[in-house]
Amino acid sequence: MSPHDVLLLIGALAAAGGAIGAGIGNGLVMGRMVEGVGRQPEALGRLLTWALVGVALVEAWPVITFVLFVFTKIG
Amino acid sequence: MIFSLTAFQWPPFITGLLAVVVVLVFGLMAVRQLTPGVPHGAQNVMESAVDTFQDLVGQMAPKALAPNLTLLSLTLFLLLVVANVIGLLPLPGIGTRWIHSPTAFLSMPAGLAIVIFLLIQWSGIKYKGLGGFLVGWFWKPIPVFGVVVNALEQLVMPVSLAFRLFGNILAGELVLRMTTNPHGLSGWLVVVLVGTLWLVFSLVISLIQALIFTILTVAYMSIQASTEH
Repeated sequence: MSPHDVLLLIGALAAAGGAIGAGIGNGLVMGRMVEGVGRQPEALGRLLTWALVGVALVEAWPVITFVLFVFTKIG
Repeated sequence: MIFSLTAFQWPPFITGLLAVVVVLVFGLMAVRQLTPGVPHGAQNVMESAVDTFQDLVGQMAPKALAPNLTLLSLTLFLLLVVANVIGLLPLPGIGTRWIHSPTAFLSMPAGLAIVIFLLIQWSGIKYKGLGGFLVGWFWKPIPVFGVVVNALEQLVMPVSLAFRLFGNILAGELVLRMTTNPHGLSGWLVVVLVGTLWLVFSLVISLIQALIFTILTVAYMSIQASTEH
């Protein structure tokens, strides 16, 4: 393996780890939102808004690792 | 490959100016013929947007800061929505060459984040006084050594703001270019199915990221300006 291959492997592993972590995090956020709606169905609108904000916050870091991976790929 | 972390490039500069002009023209359209009764057209859109942001900021910000922060956050949100969506315009030919979101290049999100960082410090000085601001920086969790914690916290803030926006919009555009290239790996079926789906998803991401950037700005400024803790 050349150094560039090692770099690619590290980038791909970082992106994979980010995706795994974000999957768990998104599951937690949305699961809690569904619990909240189950307790209080009339709060659906507000809960959904803030849950989506939370999902977007969680989702940012895997996306950033993906972008860094792409930058390792194109040089 | 046009995307780069460091090089100066013209497309984000041009589309960034375009976004500013679009927001400016929309704002002027909204206030050109103000009617006191039931509004319609651009004035209607603008009034509901102002209402929404007044509610949003009013929940978080201290009373003294709220009016200014409403205007700032609304401007920021409109600019970011337009800037994020520009890159998704389906213009064949010049599309891949010139039409990119300015936020898909690090310079615009980083510039915005630096300005917001300075604004946060300014709001701390203005609403807590210079003494309160310095106490908040140097004395808060523990005396003297608290400055390390605070410096880390305050510097991570603009960096994460900038990279979150930049990464999301750039990833959206990259995947869009991959999935909607009929000469590449994917055939027409993939372009129609996956490309369309990704376009819709990317549109939603654009709006949510603009909202996140705005909400985090409001939250950071409110925390820095509030005097009780």
